[in-house]
Amino acid sequence: MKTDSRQHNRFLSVATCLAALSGVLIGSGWVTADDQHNRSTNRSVLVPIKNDSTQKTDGVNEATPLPSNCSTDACLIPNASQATDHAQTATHSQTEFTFTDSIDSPEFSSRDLEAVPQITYPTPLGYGLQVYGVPAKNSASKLSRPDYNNWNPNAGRDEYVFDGSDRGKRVQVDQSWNVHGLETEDTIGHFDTLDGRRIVTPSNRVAIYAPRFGAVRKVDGVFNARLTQPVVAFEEKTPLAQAAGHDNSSTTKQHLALNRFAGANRASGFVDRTRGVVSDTVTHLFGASSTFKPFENLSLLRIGKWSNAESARLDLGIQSALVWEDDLGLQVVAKKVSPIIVRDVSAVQAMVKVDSEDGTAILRVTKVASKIAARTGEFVDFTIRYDNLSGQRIGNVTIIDNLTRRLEYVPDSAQSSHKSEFISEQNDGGSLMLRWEITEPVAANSGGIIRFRCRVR
Amino acid sequence: MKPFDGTKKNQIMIRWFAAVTILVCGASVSDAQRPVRHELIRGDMPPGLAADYYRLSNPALESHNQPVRIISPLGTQLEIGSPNGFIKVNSSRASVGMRIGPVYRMKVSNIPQHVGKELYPSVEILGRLNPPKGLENEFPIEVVISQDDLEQAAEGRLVTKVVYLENPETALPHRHKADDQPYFDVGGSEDPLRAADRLGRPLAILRIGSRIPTSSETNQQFNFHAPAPTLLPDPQVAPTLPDWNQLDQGSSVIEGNFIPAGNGQ
Repeated sequence: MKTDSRQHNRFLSVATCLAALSGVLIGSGWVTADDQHNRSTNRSVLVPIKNDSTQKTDGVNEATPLPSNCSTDACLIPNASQATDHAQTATHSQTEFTFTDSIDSPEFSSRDLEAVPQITYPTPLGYGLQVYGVPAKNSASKLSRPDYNNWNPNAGRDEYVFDGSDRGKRVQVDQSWNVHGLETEDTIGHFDTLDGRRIVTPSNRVAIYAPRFGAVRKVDGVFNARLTQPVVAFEEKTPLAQAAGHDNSSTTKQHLALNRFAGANRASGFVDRTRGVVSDTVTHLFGASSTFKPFENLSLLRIGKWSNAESARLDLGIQSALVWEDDLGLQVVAKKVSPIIVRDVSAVQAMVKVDSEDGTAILRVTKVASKIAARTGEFVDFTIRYDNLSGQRIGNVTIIDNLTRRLEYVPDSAQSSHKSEFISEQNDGGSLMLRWEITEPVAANSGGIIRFRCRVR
Repeated sequence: MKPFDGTKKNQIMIRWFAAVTILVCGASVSDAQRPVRHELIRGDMPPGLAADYYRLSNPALESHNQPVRIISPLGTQLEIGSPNGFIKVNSSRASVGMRIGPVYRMKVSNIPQHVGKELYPSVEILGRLNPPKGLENEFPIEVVISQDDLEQAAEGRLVTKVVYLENPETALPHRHKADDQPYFDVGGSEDPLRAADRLGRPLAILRIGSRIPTSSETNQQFNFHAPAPTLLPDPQVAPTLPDWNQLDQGSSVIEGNFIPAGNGQ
C-alpha cells in the first residue's frame, strides 16, 4: 500500500512536470497575442454567385476560409448558420466582389451547401488556413552568386539593411484577417482563393548595404590622465629657464614706418569668365508617376514575365544573395495541404517562383530596390510586383511590408497600379508596417505594382 | 539500526566527500555572488594592443587597407600623421586608408573656443568592412570627433571612444544627421570596448588626450611608428542602379496608371 502511494506520488509529479512543460511550450509558442496585426476594415469577400439571389443576401454563399484538412469538394462553403456568423463578423465590409463569369454552377450546387454540417474554425494556436508552397526546382538564379552582383561574400549581416521575405516565425492569417508572426523586415502577400483557402506568400528579400556607426565614450578625469601621460611633457613646459633668461636688452631698434608700397598695383583688366549659355530651355524632371523607373524596367515587373536575359539586372535590384538562411529558406506557397518547409535548399535565391500543378491560386511577390547601397539620410525606392500565376481569380489580395527600424517610410509616397486601401501603423521596431489591401480581385495571369519610398536612417 | 553498514574507512570517506561537496558548493555560490571577469581585450589597454589582438586573431586583416573617414568639428584644422610629419588636409574631415594594427596620430588645431590649443588624437582600427565591390571607398569607417570631445581633452581629460558598427536589428530607430555619430557615455568603472561589443561590432578606438609632442622624441616615435596612411578622395554619392532605359533600345511597356495609394486611416 505504501509502495502504491509512492508510485501514485511519482505519477502525480511526472504529470505535474508534463503539465508545466506543456504550459511553457504553449506560453513560448510562436503565436502570441502580442504579435497580432489586425487589419481588415473593408475586406472584400469572394462570393461565388448563385442563381438564388436570396442566398446571396443572407450571406450564405460567402466563401469562408477553411481548414486545410478539408477537401476541396467537401468543405467549399460552410453551412448557413456559420456563414451568417461570418457575415456578421464581416459587417465592416464596404465592398463585396462577385464573380459571375468563372464559376461553374456544378461546382457550387445547393447540395454542397448542405453537405457540410459543421465547420470548425481553427483556434489561434492551430491555424490551418494558409498553405505554403515550394519554389520551382532550379529557380535560383545563377546570377545571384557573389561574383556576379558585386556582393562581397565576406560581408556580415550587420552591414546590410534587409527588407522582405518572412524571417523567423512564419506569418499566418486567421479567419478574421488577423496577421500573426509578422516581424520587422517581413514582406508578405496574402489572398483568398475561390475554394475558400487563404494563402500567404512572402516576397524575396532585398539587401541594401547601409552600415551605420555608433560610439561608446569614456572620459577619464585628471587623475587618470596624469597616470597615463608621461611626466616629461609637464617638465618641458616649466618656464623657469625662460624667466631667468629675460635680460634687459641693451639696444633697441626703431621701427620705421614704410614710406612706399611695392607690388600693390591694381588689376588693369578683367577676364570674362561668363560661361556660355548652352541650353536655356532645360526643364527639370519632377517625377514620372505613370512610367516605369529605370530599375523597374524589367519584363518581370512590367508584364510579370520572367526572362533569363534579365536575371542579371533583377539580381542587382534584389541583391538577396547570401541572405537566405536555412531555416528561412523557402517561405513560399504551395499545395493545399499542410505547410511545406523546404530545408534542403541552401543556395541563394534571387526570386521566389512557384508552380501550381492543378491550377490552384498562386501569388508571386517580387520586390526590388533602387539602390544596392545607401548612406544614412538617402532615399531608396522600393517596388513590389505581385502576380497571380494561377488560372483562377484571387481576391482579398493584401500586401504587407513590415519595415525594419533602419528604414523610414516617406509619407505619401505609396503608389499602386490598382485601386487599394493603404494603411500604415507603428510596428515594434519603431518604424511602420505598410499594408495595401487591393480592393479588386486579381484576374488570372495578371498582377500589379506597388511603390513606396524610404529614407535610410 | 545503523543507517549504513559500511566499515569505519567507508564512513571516513563519506564524511570527506560531504565536506568537499559543501566546500565546492559554498565556493560556487560565493563566486556567483561576486563575479570576477578578466577580459582579454579591454578599452584601457595601451594604444595598439587591442588592434594587435584583433589582427593576430585574423591574420587576413593585416594586409587590408581600410578606408576611414575622420570627421572633426567644422572650423577645425585636421592633419594626418605620417613618418615625415603631419599632412594638412583641406578641411576638417579626411578620408584615409589605414591598416589594422598600427596606431595613427592626428592633429587637430584651430579648435573653436580654444584658439591656440592643439590636440593630438590617435586612432587604431580593429576590424574591416566588406562593402560591395567597387564601393570600398564610398563606405568608410566613420570616426567622428565631436566638439565636446575636444573640450574635454583640452581641459586635461582623456577621452576614449570606441566606434562600433550598429547591429541593424537593434539599432535605434532614430534619424541623425550626416557626419554626426550618436554615442553613449559609460562610467569610470566600465569598459567602453566591452560596452561597444554588446551594441555592435567594435571597429576603431579613438583616444584624445592633452599630450603634445616633446622635443626629446622623434616624429616617428610620437606617431607610434605607424606607416604612412593613404589619403583617399572624399566619398561620392552612393550609386544607383544603371538606367536601363538607356541601355535598352526597346520601348518599355507601361501598364496601369500609378495612383497614390489611398490612406485608410
